[in-house]
Amino acid sequence: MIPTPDLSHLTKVDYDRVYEPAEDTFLFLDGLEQDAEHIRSLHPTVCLEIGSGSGCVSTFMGSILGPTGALYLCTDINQHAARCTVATGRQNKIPIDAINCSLTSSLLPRLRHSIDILLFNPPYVPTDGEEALDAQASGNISGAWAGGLSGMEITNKLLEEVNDLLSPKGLFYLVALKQNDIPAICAMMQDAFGLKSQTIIQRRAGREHLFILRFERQYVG
Amino acid sequence: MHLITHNLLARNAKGCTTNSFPLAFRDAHGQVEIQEQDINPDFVCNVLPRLEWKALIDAACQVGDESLPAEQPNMTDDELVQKLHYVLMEIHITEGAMVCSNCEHICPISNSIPNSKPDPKDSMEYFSTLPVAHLADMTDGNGHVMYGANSVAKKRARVD
Ligand SMILES: C[S@@+](CC[C@H](N)C(=O)[O-])C[C@H]1O[C@@H](n2cnc3c(N)ncnc32)[C@H](O)[C@@H]1O
Ligand SMILES: [Zn+2]
Repeated sequence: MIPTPDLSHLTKVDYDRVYEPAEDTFLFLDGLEQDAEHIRSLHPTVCLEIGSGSGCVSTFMGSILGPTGALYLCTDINQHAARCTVATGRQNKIPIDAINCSLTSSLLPRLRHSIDILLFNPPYVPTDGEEALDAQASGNISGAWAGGLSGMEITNKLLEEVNDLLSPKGLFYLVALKQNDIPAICAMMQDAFGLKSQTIIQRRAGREHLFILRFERQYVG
Repeated sequence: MHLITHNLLARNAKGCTTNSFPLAFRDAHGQVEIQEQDINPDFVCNVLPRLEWKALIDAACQVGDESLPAEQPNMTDDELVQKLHYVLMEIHITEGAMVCSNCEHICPISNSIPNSKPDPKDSMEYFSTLPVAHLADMTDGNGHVMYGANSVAKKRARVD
């Protein structure tokens, strides 16, 4: 069992501004743990997490691959989240670099086809579009869940970039909600980019039915 | 921010998508910290093909390190790997700023974190097809009704 990262340095004040790890986060950890051997066998060099929040997931990835095993990069639109991410890495002796930006914007030009592990637990809750927009523009805690129409407005932007980001052996892990229409997500990724997908774990948590999806390139032969 | 990350950052914003790498340090002096880290020679060798050598040398010089050769050597021997590890993974920029040589946008670095957030207006446009007039009633997000997720009671533990 790979232990859950130590988050004891984060306080109530941090969680007023930054998403506190919850069922979705923990399902993400469980899914990654289940895939740990597979992930290690790829010898990833660059890991990138979008929307790292507390930093819990990338830190966990750091314990799968080891502190010096890969480069751990994170982005978050919320500056407090970026700060917590670095702090959580430090608390658990995993060196993480966090960037306060939207999705992958400032990394995309240089990391084209270079990301071996891409992670995103997005704001997936269906809200009205305006709430999602305001959350994106202000970078506050509502950006942790406000996903706009079908909860997919932010995720869809990233899905357009995944194929450009992934290395030939790259894996992309995404958290999704049943209401996000998972068959549609998978069909789109297959049709538009030839990326095949699989649900690696799923769980009901209160009203949410959560899924962890894994996408990868399809090789014939 | 490690220097390796500087080597992977470009400005990529509305109106500035080319010639926006590398970003030049501004006021980085005195805000450089050395944080020791174990070396993983395999990692250094694997990451090397993804780096821009000249940008790396320039960045290292700007923060006062001249240990690396100006031209990328053909061979990566132990000594070079050691030096690369130091420059890439141990030099940290904690405070300062970076400037895009194309559009002159300044990207501040504080608490080791670069801020390259989009202008709120560009963010709205990027995520929306709504008319820009909508910006008039943009708020800082306070006082919003929260939907869904957070009204669900959550168990905040993972069973190890
Ligand atoms: C559901 S939370 C997940 C946090 C953390 N990864 C976890 O699993 O606990 C979503 C995170 O995405 C961030 N986020 C929302 N929109 C973003 C964007 N456009 N770019 C980067 N991060 C974003 C939020 O600030 C928040 O930290
Ligand atoms: Zn620029």
